[in-house]
This record gives sequence, C-alpha cells and structure tokens, in this order.
Amino acid sequence: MTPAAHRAKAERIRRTLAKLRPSDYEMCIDGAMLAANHYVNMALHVLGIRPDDRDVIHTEFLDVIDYRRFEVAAKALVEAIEAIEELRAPFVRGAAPDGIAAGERALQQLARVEAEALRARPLAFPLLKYTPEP
Amino acid sequence: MEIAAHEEKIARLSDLIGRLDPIEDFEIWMWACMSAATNALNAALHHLGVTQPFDYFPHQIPGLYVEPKPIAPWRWKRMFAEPGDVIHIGLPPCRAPVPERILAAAAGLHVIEDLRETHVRGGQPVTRELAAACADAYRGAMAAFQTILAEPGRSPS
Repeated sequence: MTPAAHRAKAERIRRTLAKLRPSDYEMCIDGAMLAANHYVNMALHVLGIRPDDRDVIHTEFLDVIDYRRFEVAAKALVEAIEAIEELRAPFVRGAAPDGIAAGERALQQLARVEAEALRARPLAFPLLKYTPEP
Repeated sequence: MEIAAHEEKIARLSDLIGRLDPIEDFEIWMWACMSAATNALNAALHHLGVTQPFDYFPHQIPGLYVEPKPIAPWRWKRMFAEPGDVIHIGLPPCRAPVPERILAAAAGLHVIEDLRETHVRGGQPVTRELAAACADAYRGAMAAFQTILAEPGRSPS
C-alpha cells in the first residue's frame, strides 16, 4: 500500500477510536496497534526500507536487517509501536488488572507513533538488499 | 484465562459491537467481532477440557506467553509454556485433539479473520455486503460456541 493510503487508513481507524469508551480498552489497544502499524508501514516505505508492495503486520516480523535499519532511522517510532504491542498479551488476550490505564497508554503511544511517522523522510543513501552467503 | 474472564470480555466486546457502525467503523467493529469469537473459542476449548485456563497470557508470536505480573512498569516477561489460550485455531497447536464441533464453530471465525489482510491491514473497500457477511459469520460462530458452552463441561478446573 502507498504511504498516502496507509495514512488515510490510520486516520479512518483513529476516527473510530475516538468513539470508544475507557471500558473498551481491548479495542483501544488493538485499534491503536492497527492504526500505528499503518503509520509504521508509511514510514518504512517513505524511508525506503521496505517497498510499497511489502507491508509488515508487526515490527517483530520484519527481517532482522530491516529491523536494525528501522531502529537507526526511527528509534522513537519503534519504541512507541512496541509500547503498544507490549500491551496486547496482558490486556487484550489476558486479564491483567487496570486495563483502562493500559487503553489510555495505547492511545498516548499512538499519538507518538503518528508524530514520529510524519517526520520520516527518504534516507539519503540507497539501501542494498543484502543477504550474506552462508 | 478462566472461562469467566473470557465471558466478561465477550460481554463488553458485544456491547461495543452494538455501538459501532459496521461500515463506517469496520476495522475495529470486525476486530471486536473476531476478539469476542476468539474468547468464545478459548472458553469452549477450556470447557471441553481440550486446553486449560492457565494464568499466563498468549503473545502474538505463537508459542510464547507472558506472565501476568509485570517485571517493570509496562513490561512483562515472555516465556515458553504449555499451550493454554490460543490466538487462533492451531496457533499454537493444542496437545489434545480438537473436537469436530469446535472446528465447525470456528468456521465463522475464519471468515472474519480472513478479512484482516484485505480490509483492515489492506485497503480494499468496505461494502454493505461484506459487513453483512461478517455479521452473519460472527452470529453463527457465537451461537455455535454458546451451544458447546451449554453442554456438560469436562474442564478439570
């Protein structure tokens, strides 16, 4: 998907997030995750780390070489998306206490993800698709 | 997670599903349907004794779980563990055979899950027909899981 399409999808999900109540914390977290990963893909495409036709579902599923590049190019963005992802097991799939605070944290981190993704610019140097011989 | 905890989540997710517009809010609406049905799947697996309601929670990397108590503010320890709750049918695989009626009930859940890549992570347009098909799949799956949960239970807990 193109960067513009990712941004439009993220903004659409954010409009639904604005309708949720604090007690809907599972979907505050997962909705934030979905919107944030659209911003992540937008940034990956703009930076030139991944082409438009190779989206990722979660940063954990990036090739390690691309993950390392992404950390260098957009460290705060990686930290913010992973702060959202960290909430899913205990609060969406699990029953850890204080889910409402977790939902609020997810939305705060989504705002960070958006701000950092919108700062992304193409890297000054072309990236090599590098796979060393074993 | 205990069956009661799954049922508590199902109740809140069902309330949210009723408040959202299936087309305008499709992404989170369908995700809430999928989450409620996955909770029902886990409750049914526990109820029939296929899986146990351990007190650790499944991670999105299949096979990994997290401990319920944080090890630092907003951080949880990841670990390998005996499969308890699943994130999808087969993820992670259950040690015990999964009864055919659970697989049949999960067919509707598969219909919903298949929309993730195309219409939530992807940009294909959301139509009234698509939302109706998703709603039908959700209702069918939940009714089938509720039928299983009404059977005499075999859970050791």
